[in-house]
Amino acid sequence: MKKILFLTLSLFCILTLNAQNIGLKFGLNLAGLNFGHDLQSQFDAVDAESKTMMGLTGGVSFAFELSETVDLDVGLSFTQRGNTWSIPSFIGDGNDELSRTLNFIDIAPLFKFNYAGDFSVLIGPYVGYAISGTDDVYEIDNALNYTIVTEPIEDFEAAEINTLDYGLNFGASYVINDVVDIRAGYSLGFANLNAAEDQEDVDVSTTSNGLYLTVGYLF
Amino acid sequence: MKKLLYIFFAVSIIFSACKKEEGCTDSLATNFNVDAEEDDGSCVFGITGGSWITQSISTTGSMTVSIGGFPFLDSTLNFVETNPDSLEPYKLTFNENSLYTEHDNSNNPVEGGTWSVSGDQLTINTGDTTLLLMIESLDRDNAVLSLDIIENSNDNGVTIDVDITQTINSTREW
Repeated sequence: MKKILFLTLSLFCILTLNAQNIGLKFGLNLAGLNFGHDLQSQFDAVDAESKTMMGLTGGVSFAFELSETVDLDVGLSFTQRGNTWSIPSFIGDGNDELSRTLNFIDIAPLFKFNYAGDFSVLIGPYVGYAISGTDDVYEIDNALNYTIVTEPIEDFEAAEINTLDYGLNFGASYVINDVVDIRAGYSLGFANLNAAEDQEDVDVSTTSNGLYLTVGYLF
Repeated sequence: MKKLLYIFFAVSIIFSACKKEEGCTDSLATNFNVDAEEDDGSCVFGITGGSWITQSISTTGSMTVSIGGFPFLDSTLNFVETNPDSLEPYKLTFNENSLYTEHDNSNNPVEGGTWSVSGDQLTINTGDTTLLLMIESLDRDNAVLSLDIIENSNDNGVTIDVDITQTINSTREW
């Protein structure tokens, strides 16, 4: 963890010193998890419907001009990814929502193709490292009642979570008055975030994906 | 000299005749000695005799349920139940013929079956379930039984881990 923070800070300093433009961005990440077919059928068996989780994202971006039409935009951001399940309530009528939220530090070098004035297309890889997370789960309290509690994930290994995520970002950017940068796109994760072993031929592999929408301020 | 010896033997016989026999004097004990006149604290009591009325049940342990590594239920239990309406079993009666009966708080029969004791282990068979309880302590009026509920199952990706210990504190009603 200390190593990751040190590397992140070092990268931040190097990028700050060399970047031609720096921007701050904040927004929403409409995240979800993509389950292996077998695992999805297990959720289906208990009527657990997977739903998009609204996470936060925010960070710094550093722009480097590669050519007249192409920039390299390196983003260093905090991003929440995860999933929400809607399941028939243990407590009362209707459904309850359980969720897993994972907090990542992402590094995302994006190639920014400037074709039409203030509009540009973005594509590039990302690498994320999970630094913390929470699970919203049922708990039976001492009065034997079900409640939903938020539990911090203290040990990723014990929680069977792979902390390294990687994938592809692609989207579009629109800059207003050279100051406000509005971006929307899609993150497609390739890494299996589920460290649980496949059980009896049940493929439990899980990848992350989701739409993102950010508003940035360019300095 | 002969007179002295006679007196010595006579006194010895009188003293030995007056000495009380020691042993378990409690007629409810398994080692009750009908000849004993003085209790030496050796009484041993079994699970049979009277009925056991549960005074409290303490529950400690954990229970988790996950699907493919994703947790749905994660609980740590640590509580003591003393409400008679919520105590189960409330009243247990172990008969000499290896049969037992369970009654609720209103003395309605709830369940029955067979029982056996081997060492400190009490085995109760309800017909469809076998419960293995440990006899933590047992005397004339009190018993402490413990029951470990351990289940580790993995069925098509649904993992259930239960590790709960229930300790039943009972008093005997003769």
